[in-house]
Amino acid sequence: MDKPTYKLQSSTDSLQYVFESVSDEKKITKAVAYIQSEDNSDLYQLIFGDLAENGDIDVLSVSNNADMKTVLATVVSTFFQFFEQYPDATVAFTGSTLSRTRLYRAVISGLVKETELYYQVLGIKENGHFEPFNNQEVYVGYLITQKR
Amino acid sequence: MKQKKTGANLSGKEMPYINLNSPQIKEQVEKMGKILKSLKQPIPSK
Repeated sequence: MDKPTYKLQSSTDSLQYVFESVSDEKKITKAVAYIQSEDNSDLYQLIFGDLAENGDIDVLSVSNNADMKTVLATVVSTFFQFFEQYPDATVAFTGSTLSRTRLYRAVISGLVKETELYYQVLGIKENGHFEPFNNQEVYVGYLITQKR
Repeated sequence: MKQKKTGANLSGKEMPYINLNSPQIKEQVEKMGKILKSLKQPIPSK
């Protein structure tokens, strides 16, 4: 992936990541967590947001740090390390709000092109069906697997 | 020696604590859980 990304810190189990979003005005600590499903050990939910000092992840925060693409490219870059350790996993995620899920569609559209050799990205439609990601469609969530 | 689940990473810095049990995280996990339960096709795996 040739998009700029922030330097990541990761947990030894490759399930948690933090990085700093930096602008001239401020630094914001961001966190990415993969949470294993209780029903399916190969299914992980991707959670992402601002990391508060008490350890909470604020998934609703609006940073306005003028680096959204770099932040999301950094989130995507965690896939490489995550899938290295969990090659059979399926990652599921949705936006914390409808508008954010739409925003992810726009960003995923660009990132899919760069990572399509490695990952399959599926969009989940409101009717419960999913399909290979199509940037013209509206999705309520996404599924990502590593290609064989 | 058994490896700790979290801790210092390659950069040598200590990972900050991340609370995965906060109400916001639980809500987000439940939201995605509902979407997954509504799936009409089996969840793909590698």
